[in-house]
Amino acid sequence: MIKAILVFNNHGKPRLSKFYQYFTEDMQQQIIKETFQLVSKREDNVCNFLEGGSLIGGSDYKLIYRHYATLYFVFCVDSSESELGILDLIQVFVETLDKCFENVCELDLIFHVDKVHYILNELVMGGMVLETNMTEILTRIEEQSKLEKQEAGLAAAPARAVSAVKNMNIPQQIKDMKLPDLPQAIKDLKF
Amino acid sequence: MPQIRSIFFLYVLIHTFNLLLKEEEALIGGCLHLVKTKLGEPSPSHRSVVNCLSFVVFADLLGYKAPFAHIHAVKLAGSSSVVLKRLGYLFCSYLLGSSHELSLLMVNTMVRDLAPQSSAVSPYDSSNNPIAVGAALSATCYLTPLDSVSTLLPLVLDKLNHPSPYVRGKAISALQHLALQVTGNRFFNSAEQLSSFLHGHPSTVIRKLLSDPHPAVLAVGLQFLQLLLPLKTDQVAVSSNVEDSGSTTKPKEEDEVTADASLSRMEDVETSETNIFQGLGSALIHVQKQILQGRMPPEYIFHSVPSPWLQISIMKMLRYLQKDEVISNCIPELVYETFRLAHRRTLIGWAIVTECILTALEIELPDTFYYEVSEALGKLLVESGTGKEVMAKWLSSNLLYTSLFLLQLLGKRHTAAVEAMMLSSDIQDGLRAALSHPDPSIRRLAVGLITSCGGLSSHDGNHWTAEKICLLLLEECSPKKSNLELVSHVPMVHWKKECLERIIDLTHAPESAPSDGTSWQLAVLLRALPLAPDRNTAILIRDRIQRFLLPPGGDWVDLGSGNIPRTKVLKLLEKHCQSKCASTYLLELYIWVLSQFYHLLPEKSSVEVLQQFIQLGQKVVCNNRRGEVSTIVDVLIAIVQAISHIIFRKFNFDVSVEECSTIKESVQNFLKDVSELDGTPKLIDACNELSKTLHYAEPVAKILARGPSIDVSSMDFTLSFLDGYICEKLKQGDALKEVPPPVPYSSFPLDYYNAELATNIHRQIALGLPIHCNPWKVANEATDAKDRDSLELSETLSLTVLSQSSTVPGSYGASLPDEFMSLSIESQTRELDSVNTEVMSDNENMEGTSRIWTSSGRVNFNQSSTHGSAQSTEKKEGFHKEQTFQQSSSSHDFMALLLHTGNSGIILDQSQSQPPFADPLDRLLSEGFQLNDISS
Repeated sequence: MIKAILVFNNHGKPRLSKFYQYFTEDMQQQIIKETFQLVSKREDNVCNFLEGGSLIGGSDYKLIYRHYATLYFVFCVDSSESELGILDLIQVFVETLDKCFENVCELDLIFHVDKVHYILNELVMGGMVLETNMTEILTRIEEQSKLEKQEAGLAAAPARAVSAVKNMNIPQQIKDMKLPDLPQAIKDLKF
Repeated sequence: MPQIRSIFFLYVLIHTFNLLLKEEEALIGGCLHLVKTKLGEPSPSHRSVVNCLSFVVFADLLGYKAPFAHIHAVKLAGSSSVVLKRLGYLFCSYLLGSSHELSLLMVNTMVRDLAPQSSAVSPYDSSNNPIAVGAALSATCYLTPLDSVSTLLPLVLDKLNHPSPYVRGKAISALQHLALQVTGNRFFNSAEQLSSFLHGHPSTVIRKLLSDPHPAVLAVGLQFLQLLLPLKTDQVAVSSNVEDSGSTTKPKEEDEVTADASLSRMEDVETSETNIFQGLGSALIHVQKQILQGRMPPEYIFHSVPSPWLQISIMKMLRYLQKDEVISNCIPELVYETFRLAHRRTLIGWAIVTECILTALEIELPDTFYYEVSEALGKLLVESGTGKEVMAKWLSSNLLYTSLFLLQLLGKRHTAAVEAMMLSSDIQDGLRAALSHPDPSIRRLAVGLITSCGGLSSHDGNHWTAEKICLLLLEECSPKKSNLELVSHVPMVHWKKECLERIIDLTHAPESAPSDGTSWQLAVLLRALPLAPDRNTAILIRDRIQRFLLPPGGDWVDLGSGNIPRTKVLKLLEKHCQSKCASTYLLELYIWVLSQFYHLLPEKSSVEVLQQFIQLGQKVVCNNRRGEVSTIVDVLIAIVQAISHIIFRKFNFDVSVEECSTIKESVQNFLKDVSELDGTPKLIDACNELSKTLHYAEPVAKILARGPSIDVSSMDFTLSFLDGYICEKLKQGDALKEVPPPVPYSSFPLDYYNAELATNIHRQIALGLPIHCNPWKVANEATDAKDRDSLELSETLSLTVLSQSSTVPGSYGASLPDEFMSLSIESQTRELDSVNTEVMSDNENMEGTSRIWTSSGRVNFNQSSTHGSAQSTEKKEGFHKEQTFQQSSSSHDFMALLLHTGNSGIILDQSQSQPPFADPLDRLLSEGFQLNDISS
């Protein structure tokens, strides 16, 4: 099972964190710090697996990470997970982000925190791998975006109603209006 | 109010210029204040609320809390709009926890959204939208309090039947989370517990999971079932044959299988509540066969591998099903087929291969399979290790790590296959590359593979002799290699300990007197001693050296060829006594070696050696008067014991002889100086012991001088004549209230056995041994049996000694004169008060050594809990014990002992591996120790 997913930059500033096991707020911050200290010291030519540190489960847990440009993507998993499988799962996550944001960068993770979480929720939920098909994930995100746009359309309905009324050309319609013939008595009235 | 996103940007922009923590706090605090103001407005727009909450999430990520925003997130989740609801769930999941006071409100919202609806009202109606339902299911993983599980569980179970695979997948995840919450993260212990959780219909749920037509949902379902499988092996009967159950299962036509078709045959399996896993194995095999036949939807192909994560799950699950009578015959074939078809050019392909091998190691497969596996792994080792295959550095490191890890596991199961593979020159090259890899985890695995897989040989023609492995391990212990804190799940300090323990393991105990054949072992151990990261490890190494110099079966006063290595060791240590700084470990060893073998140096008389010890002790005391006494205690104890040894062995207690009487006063003055220090009880006891013994030496010498009528060798060194006295004191509560635990063999002070004096430290041995029992014999029994049981034997024997005290008087004690008796009793009474401290110190030794001996007699490297508990004390101890002495002008200054190991790098090339000196001790003597190899 996946216990936590952490993303932080080269300075150790967290950009995304998702814990699938309960930890207090302080403990979460400690875990992020400790994980950064463990991971940031490692060079690029060493393997990407290491022990989970003292705070997040000890030797039964593994940290599996990838380093992309300014960001570290770290998955904390228990011993039942395949290390190489998780490495490629990180790749799926990053590729999905990349396709969704078109050349994803650190700022995308800050400005589009909701979208990033949606993508992650499609990939992993409750510590289980939910979907590994990138196309499927992107389709769902697009569906959600479409829904968002549609709802935004509904929200703008009053304004659209006003403009529709304007476009109706009411004076002309009044002119074109055919009233029924008045009674003869009324016509014969003299003022 | 500025736009929130502008604030984000401002923050990030400033952060690029190394924002200080205080400035960051001020900036984020200011932003949160603005957010609070905005949210506090009468009716903020949804857009601004979402922006504010986005920033709150961002601030929360950095550790800045904003509890005032939580209620707004809850309100958002209760919105009728799907988009806002989804955002609300997201923010609540992130900001609130299951124990949050607002989580109950969220449970109500979730119940509303998960409740089954009669019909669709509108496409934008959140109550029926799969996106809203999915968001609510996601939120159950974060916001469900324990007491609300029963409320949500039926709704979640109901969603397993939802038409949308998106919802079904999320429902399985939510179900798993609820199960973990109910069981306290341990999952189910029994089938009854599972049945109770699933409302009495576990097999129905399992069938539903396995019969899902969507590959992604099936994969999630398998992950859930994977957690349940331990129940199958433990408590649930093995599934019966599908055919036996009378079902009409028929293999599907190949053309039928599409993305929408059912992947497994579970729908054909009859329901049986008595066997919840019925048909599971058949279903897994069916799915895996379809994957191997390439009948999965193309969108589930990742890097040319069809449904890799699904395959990984199935391979893992098959391990639990090996005893299933129905499918046990099919599993080996399927594993082999999966292994054969796995795509070996990708990481995910190797992930499947890894799972196949791990499964194969737990089931029976033909030998040819293991040879094929070792060949494939060897190829991977060569490709990733030697750079013959062009691949990214990170990729090659991971593959190299994996190949070594799997080879090590394979070697344990099928050693012949790995040994055969290791004979190849390409593999040898790959292993050499792995041994010099920058990643210590990989080096560790390579060393483990070589040592565990029969690569070791005493023949020089073999690439991996024990000596070369020891040299490699020494290289690993070098302080130069301390570039990483963690080495493959092991902290660096423990990796060093592991290396040193492996060295001890590889340098087998000698059966006879030291010879040229064991010189390399002595050289390796001498170089290893100053690298010990803690005292316990140093004691183990020192004991091993002492065993080499004083073999149990050999004559330690042998003047033949056995003395050559002893002389070399003595000269080697003496040569480096003239240096500026020293490790206490080597200094203590030198003191011991000199006290034992000074007679091998013709230029040194016993009096001169005694004078040297006294001078050394006085300088240690002088130079550390203002310092920490604990740093010199062990050296001083070693000196006192060495002095005792020489006086009582060389002079046979006769201190009245001229040469001894001249030094007697110096010894007493030295002991007085040491006693004035605020030392440990052990040091004080050692000094008192020597002082008192000197005082009573003359009467003892008189007894001994009576001639051959007194058989010194048959004297009761166990002090059994004191048993009655000790028991009486114990009853009165005036003495030690607990029996000291037995001392592990490795911490037996060897020289004490040869001493002709019963000391306080002897008593500890005596308590663990019967009368006239040779400690060496017990030690050998412990070594031979490779079992801690021998120590329990010692404990039993010690109790026997105590129990005999009332009935068996000290036979030899009765024949001794009163003076000697009084001496012993006085000494004993005094020492009893300080035994508590000794016991504690011995317990520490035991803790260190207990890691070495396992039931199999091999070194246990995976006791992380022991590592963790001992780490802090070891570090502290190591820090204090290592000591730098001040330089002295004296040419024979023991204070200045330089240690440097003669490590000129590991030569792995066969042509260069022959040292210039035939004897490694000569080489060490010539080149000396390297200062940079001393861990300090």
